[in-house]
Amino acid sequence: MKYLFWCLLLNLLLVFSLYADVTTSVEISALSGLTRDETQEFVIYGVGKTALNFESRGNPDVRAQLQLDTIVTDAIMPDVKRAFVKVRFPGFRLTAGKTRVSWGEGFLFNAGDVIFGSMEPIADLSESVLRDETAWLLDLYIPLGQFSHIEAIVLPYAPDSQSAEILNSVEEMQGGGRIVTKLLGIKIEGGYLFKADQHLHHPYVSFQGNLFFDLQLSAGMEIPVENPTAEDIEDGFTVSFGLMRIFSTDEAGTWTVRLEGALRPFAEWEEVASATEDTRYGLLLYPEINYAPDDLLSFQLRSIISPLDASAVISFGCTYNIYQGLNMLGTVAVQVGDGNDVFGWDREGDVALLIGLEYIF
Amino acid sequence: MKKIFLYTVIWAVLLPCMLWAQITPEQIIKKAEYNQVHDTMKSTGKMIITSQFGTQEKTFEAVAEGEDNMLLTFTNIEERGQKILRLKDEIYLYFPDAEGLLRLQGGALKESVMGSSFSYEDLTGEKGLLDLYTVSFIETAPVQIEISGTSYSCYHVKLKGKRSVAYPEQELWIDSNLFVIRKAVYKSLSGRVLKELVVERIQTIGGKYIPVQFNMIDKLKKNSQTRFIIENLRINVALRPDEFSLERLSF
Repeated sequence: MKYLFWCLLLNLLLVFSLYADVTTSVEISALSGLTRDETQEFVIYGVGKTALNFESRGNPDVRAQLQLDTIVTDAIMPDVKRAFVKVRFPGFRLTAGKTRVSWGEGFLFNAGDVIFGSMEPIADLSESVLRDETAWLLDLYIPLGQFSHIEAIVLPYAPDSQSAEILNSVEEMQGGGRIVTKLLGIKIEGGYLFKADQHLHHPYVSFQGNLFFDLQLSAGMEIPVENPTAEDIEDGFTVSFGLMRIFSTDEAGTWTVRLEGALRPFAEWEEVASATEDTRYGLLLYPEINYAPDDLLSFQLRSIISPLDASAVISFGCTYNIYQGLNMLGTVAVQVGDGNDVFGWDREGDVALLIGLEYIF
Repeated sequence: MKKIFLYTVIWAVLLPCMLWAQITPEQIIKKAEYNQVHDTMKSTGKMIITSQFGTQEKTFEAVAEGEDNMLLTFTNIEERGQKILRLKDEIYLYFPDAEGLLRLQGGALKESVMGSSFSYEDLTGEKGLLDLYTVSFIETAPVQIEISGTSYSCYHVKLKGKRSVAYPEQELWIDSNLFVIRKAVYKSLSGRVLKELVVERIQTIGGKYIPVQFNMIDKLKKNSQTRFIIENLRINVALRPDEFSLERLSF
């Protein structure tokens, strides 16, 4: 029944795009993988990822997009990744629908990302963009000059909510705002999100500047609404930092070097023998080196390192952009560590090889 | 005796006139920049990137104001919505998928734009040449160069960077009649040729001679060149006051 619904919806949208002032694009990734399952047996799999995009064009003050993502294996897992309208009015702009807003600073770790949360490690480092979650939101953006703005946001559903309910209690919503400005060449951002669903206040600050490297620093604090204790505040205090620089030479290609860190000053600073999924260590690091010998080929070495329990996931990838819109991809990833470390050998997905093609048309 | 007197008088009158009439290399650059820099400008265009695997095409819309401000929006399917904002001393990139802004600084400015032979600096920066370079004649009299079978009379000048610039040395061939760059060779500090630019088509708009099609050849890479074609160019158009803001970039 679901297949029928999606087929009908796609047909409807395709017909609609032929007659409306719309641009359409399709992105298909066809990937084949080899990994180990929980019994340590090697298994192979094939997976297709598609993204069907409809974007408005014509009116420079209105932007709308509908993006339908599908993961195709034996089953089909559809998702409306984006469905939003963005409108510019004199003096302000309004965004309504499902989309992404990017608060704070950081490629992987970002203590200023109070909306989606970007302090937890991830195991899959093969994607070009590591954080691209979207959420239903209503966002008011008021520019204050060339580099500054204030913004207010309301999220009817928490971004990580698993609930399928359409009607949500007002006690489950989230809302807040931020101010962004630039002072002496440093981008300064401060904001706050009230998470009614979790009964939390979540303020943050974020800075970004340049001193040989592009540097960024963010700090956030989750404070319980009712009777916060010093311990609660310590547990919710997070800091992220990062540096990045592109070294580009005419003869030796381009090297991009990035290092980010996620700090929880009051979390565990020694290895916990009986660590569980809820154990949070004080420091995680994300180093990345990207080498592009020419404009078509790039190699990427990424890792998330948990130095306190000496575990890591290491990923090596290669992308080759042969023809217009076509990329050949290949990634090898290995986890290193003991049984209850953040990453570990002898667990599902501890080694993974992924190759495939990606085409956008 | 009378003849000698007459010649002396003629030379005495003509020599200062000739000296006064001799155009300086700085004047040539200024005249070329007059054709190249506009109060405001809007255009669409495309880059045709040729590599050993064939060609790729990137289309864009551009808006510019004077030497300092420029907003480039890519409109081809693969990079649709990606934008480059050039402000006086800064370049910002916008990636719609991540809804993210990236400020480019330092070595990042030398990066290739979408795999083309143009760097971010080539596309958006270094228009105030006389602030950045000292300029001198290679040949004091115009020379003839041939482009696509046509011969042009050009001033041949050399630019040397006063400080850290994208190309420490440049050689320019500037049309002696139209004052438009016909050809440019960009060199490293050691004098090695990095890139070569050839202007293939010039259009007259609002009394200005504007290059609208040029080819950049990357001399360090095999079979690598980018043809840059400007279409629908309009100059001195009205722009919104917030055209070059981060709000506009992230919309």
